[in-house]
Amino acid sequence: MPVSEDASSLRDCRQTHVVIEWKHDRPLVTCRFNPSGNALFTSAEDNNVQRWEFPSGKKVDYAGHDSWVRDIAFLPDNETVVTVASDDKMIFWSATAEKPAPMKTIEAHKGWIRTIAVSPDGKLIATGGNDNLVKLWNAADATHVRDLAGHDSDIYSVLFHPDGKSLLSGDLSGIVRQWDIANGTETCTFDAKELHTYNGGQQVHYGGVRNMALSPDGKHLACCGLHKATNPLGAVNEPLVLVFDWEDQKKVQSHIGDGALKGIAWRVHYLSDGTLVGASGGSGGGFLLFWKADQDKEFHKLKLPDTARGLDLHPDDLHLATVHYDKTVRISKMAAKAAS
Amino acid sequence: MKQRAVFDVEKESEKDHERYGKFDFGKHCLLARRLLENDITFVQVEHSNYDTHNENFNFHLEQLGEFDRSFSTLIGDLHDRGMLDSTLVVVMSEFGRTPRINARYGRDHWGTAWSVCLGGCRVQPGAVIGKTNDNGTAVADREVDHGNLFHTYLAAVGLDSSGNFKAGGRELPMADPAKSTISELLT
Repeated sequence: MPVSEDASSLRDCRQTHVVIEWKHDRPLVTCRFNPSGNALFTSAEDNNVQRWEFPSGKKVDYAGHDSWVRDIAFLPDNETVVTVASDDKMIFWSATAEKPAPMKTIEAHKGWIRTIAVSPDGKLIATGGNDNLVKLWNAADATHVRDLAGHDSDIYSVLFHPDGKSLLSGDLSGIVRQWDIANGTETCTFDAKELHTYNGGQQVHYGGVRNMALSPDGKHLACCGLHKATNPLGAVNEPLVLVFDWEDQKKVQSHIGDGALKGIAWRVHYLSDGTLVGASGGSGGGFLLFWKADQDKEFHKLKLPDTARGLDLHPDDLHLATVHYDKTVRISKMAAKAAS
Repeated sequence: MKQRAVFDVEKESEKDHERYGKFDFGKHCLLARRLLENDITFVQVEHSNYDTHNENFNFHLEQLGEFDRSFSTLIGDLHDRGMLDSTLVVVMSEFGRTPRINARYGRDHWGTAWSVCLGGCRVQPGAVIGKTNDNGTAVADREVDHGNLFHTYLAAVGLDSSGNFKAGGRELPMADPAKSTISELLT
């Protein structure tokens, strides 16, 4: 399967279909394509990371973490992959080695590390975790640059702005903070509290900004997660994506599912034409959801064979990867099936 | 009610409220200390919402963060006051959670194998009685049940668990006659 196909001419979200399935031996947690798109990295409940050559599916295991890997990021050189996990560690690895071993291991947070991102110039790494801190690191030598303190709940997601000047961090309580990278000061907040629920009967906080994405024109910020959490302990909730105006931080859209999907929007991506793609998973099963900016409900959804836990968009803007509880990686193509 | 003040946890110091945590479980543990100090013979404190069929690890972090703070403060205070020698502490739930993690990162009900924690009175510190198989799905050694536990509770506080008691005129055994004390747990 060539990865140089012209997405703009081929892409048809309504025709999205699964084209590849790869099997692992444990349920999967998350996934990321490397910058060149020739490999997909996944993590699983065996505490390992897997590198799958795309599209052949040849697999290489990365063993080194002591708990589930929550997020994966790449340095722009395409040679280094960095993973963060619930063992409080950030590990640097070769992204291409045949027998990869940890190159550098950092005790990066006190508590789970849920999220990692690399700055557009590749010089900085941002991590966020259950110690309510966002941390900045030098990508070249993994030295600590500074802490960004201000959140009062677990950090679920971090995202560098493409201009390289600011960083966004989203937490369990639904607050998104924007930081000036140069001096570490907070510049503004986005109110995504609709993504948070406190259930008084069960006495639990639930939800959070599970992931964020910026629109290709830079005018909108999408934050995903869940709402309608009438029974958090029983997984009764619905996916929700909130879209904010970048300039004034006001909410401009709430993307929901058409019908009862009973899931969480784990991750969202903007396609180059501004279409928003999300993966939902939960007690209602797994879905790929496609939204237009001016419509609250999706214009198309694809029911996946199993509940989804992670999503990534291939650099070709045409393929999507999802990882699933049934130990399967699924690659879907946003185009019509090839004529047989 | 003559002893109403015994139940008034607000009479405890601000410092103690802070140490135990200003949330329900913290207040209840502080009240438990107050009741025990006033010679109440049986005190039960509940901490609920462990029924995590969804996102078990997120919710348990939240719950156990509360539990650890308040419970450890209570145990520390009982120890410091010399009360652990005469107080049996039991931490238990009616069943465990599945060793297997479900599709929603949750754990479901598991009544086949789980643990109960005891301390104080005659309970030897650090003892581990029995074990499960490697993946926690079944008891591999020294299975006990509620019958054994009741004999052990009673023996720990110095009662003869082989005796009877009367309830509504009926003579009833204090503990299941078919079961016995977990004797190796007691000093």
